[in-house]
Amino acid sequence: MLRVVSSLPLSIGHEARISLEKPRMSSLSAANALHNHSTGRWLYNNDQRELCWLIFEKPPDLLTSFAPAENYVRQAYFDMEQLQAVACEAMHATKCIHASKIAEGTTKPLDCNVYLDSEVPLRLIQQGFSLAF
Amino acid sequence: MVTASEVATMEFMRLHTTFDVPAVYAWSKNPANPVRSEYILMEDVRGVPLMESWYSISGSPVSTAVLRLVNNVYSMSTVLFSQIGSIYFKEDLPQELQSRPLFGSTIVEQFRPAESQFRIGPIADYS
Repeated sequence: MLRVVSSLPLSIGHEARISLEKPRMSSLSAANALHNHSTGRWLYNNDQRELCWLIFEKPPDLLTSFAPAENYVRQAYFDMEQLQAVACEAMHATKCIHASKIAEGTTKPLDCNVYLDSEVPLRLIQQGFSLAF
Repeated sequence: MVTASEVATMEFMRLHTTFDVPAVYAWSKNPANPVRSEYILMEDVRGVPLMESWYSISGSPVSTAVLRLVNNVYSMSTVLFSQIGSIYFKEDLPQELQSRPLFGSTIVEQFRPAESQFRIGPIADYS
């Protein structure tokens, strides 16, 4: 089993870049965006919570002094390109051709299928942070 | 630690049972990695989730599914661990916990090889 914790060479990251546009953190309506956690959440103060991310477009760990983690339940921060680079290295693939979200969970903001050039789908679970429900 | 336990538990099951447990290809428990988040990259297991067809099946498919489920749960209930907690890879735990045995007094032969790789650690909890 491969454990990937070290930084990857930049070249792998470039090869791993795919047609999927780099996810942005700034769309209020993009419920299906990869980073969005759009189910199982509190609706009160919804606009304020979403706006919080718009204003502080940074990963939650950099922002705990500004705003509670609860505000970031809407978005799970991760670097999609690096994630694909990790997948490519683990599977000895040259590029990632497709990534799509298949589920959202209370403990796993993202659960997505990643298709590398081998066309073997991988399931990828990302755990950004525990959710403040 | 939750990610570490989740991966270790999946590996424990995949290596020492016949259940369809997805293989883990890469993972990280360190949120300061290049991805800037913990992650698990695993095999996409082919098949149909039971919940998807549960309300449209009856008769023998139901008994097949339930029997398999019960057998799997039963076979895991025969495993006696040394203490209460969650499963981890040995190297993810402090020395003190590494020195404790994985299993209790009775060891199911099928699981004996796991002794070298896994240990029991804190109960994995997301909250």
